[in-house]
Amino acid sequence: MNDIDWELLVRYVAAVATDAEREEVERWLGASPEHREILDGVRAAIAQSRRELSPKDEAAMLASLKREIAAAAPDGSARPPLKIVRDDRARTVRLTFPARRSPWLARVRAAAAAVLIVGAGAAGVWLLDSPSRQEQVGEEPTVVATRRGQRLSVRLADNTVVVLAPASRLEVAPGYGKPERRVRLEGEAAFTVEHDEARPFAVETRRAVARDLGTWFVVRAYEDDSATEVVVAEGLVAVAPAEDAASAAAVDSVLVTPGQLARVGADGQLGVTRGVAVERYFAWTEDRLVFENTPLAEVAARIERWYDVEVRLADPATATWPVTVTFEHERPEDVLRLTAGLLGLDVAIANGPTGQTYTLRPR
Amino acid sequence: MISPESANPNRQPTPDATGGPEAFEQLFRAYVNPLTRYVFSYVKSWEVAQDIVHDVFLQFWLRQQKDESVRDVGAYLYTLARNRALDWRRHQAVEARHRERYVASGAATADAAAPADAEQGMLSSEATALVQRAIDALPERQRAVLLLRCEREASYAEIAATLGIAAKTVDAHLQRAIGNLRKLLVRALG
Repeated sequence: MNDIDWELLVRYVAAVATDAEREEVERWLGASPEHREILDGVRAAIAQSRRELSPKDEAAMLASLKREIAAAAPDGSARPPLKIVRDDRARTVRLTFPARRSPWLARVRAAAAAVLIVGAGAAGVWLLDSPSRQEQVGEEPTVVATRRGQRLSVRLADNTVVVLAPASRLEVAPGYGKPERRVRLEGEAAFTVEHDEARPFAVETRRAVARDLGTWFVVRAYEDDSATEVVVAEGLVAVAPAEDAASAAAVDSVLVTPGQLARVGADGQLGVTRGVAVERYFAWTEDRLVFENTPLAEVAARIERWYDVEVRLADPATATWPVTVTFEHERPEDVLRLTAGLLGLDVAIANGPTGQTYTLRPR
Repeated sequence: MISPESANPNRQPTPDATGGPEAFEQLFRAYVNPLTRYVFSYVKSWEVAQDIVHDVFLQFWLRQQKDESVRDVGAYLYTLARNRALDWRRHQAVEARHRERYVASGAATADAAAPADAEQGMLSSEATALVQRAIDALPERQRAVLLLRCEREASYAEIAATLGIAAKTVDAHLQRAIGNLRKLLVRALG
């Protein structure tokens, strides 16, 4: 690129070139496809020159940097600053951490993490960084599953990325992509789907079917959940009750847009909540556990799956106590001690054959 | 202090490279958008670009704490940004190669013709990145006039009206912008 007449090129792009100059550029363009590429590059630079971070993204990036810089402080004080607000009426205590990066970036991190490639049709599965480990699976559905305490990023043959939460199971139908792209989910996963009109993508759970009409959403359908939930961050998803659960009175399907959550209950009842804090539902893809007025029983269940530990509530009455707290990169002992402390409970830790058991009991 | 050609002299106060957290914030605000646009030229995803730029700032801060303060901060940031962007592209190419190999495994051997790698579109990306950085180094008025003219071939009268300047100065701004762009690009490649 060293012998390019940049002045001529820019004058051409700015439409201030003389006729002679224009001809010269067009001759130059015709001389090699590389020249064409360079011109396209110049135009692209102009086209993107006004792009800026939104004030929110910029503030979030700065705050994240400040926090990480503070965490790297040489005196070893790595904890981010906390603010504790006690609200005695509701028995909730709020822990606030400084503002975090936009969760959109979580998608990139999820996709960049160690990736399993799952095949369509005659399936082959191997880990990206050890291509020698290849297992042929044949025409059965390909299954990827996580244990408790484990998360996994999977890239399907069509570039759809699925981040599986702990204790989840994804089944990729044989003939995936020919033409339908169907998967079956038990548990929880975040989907980033390459939209393709000709090859519709659908996630089936026990109670619901979510069809992709656009990009990025989370589906939650654990065995012990009473409903399947679908939350959309970007794009459009159509949610309908699973065929055998559809009730006569239910609508066929509902369109879910960003910031909305669709719920399909055991009876096939379909409901949509608007104005949902999407970040809360995607936080786990970014290593964060977020609870907002979450009943302690559910908090316990999620901690169990996340860390692969056992959490017991000694007093059943505590099961409905609401908890509002966010954790990031914490050890399970700290998470449970903190949660217990905030609610005025004690925590006892026992080491059993299956791992650690934490019991929360009133003082 | 930052050398003038790598800062945005007419748009932002020149940040102090040797300072503490306040200086860092100034630096951040001055460079976050130009760097993100620059990285975007290579990675073609705004989200990925932000992620990379975040890491660039972090890396810069951590290095700055250890070594002597960097003299030409702008150039250093851009170099870090380009390296990370190219790393990302290479990583994407590796994944693509694995995917291609899988898809082709039924047909040809695993080492069949290598698929599109990181080189594809590289020339266009380099040109975009270079020009982007040069545009960001132009004085604000020149940049504004140049963009309006290139984006929609706006007439000088329209440009004057949009920017609230005298019509007869538009040509001068445009010519200076083009001249400066040439100088910046030649210097960047030289």
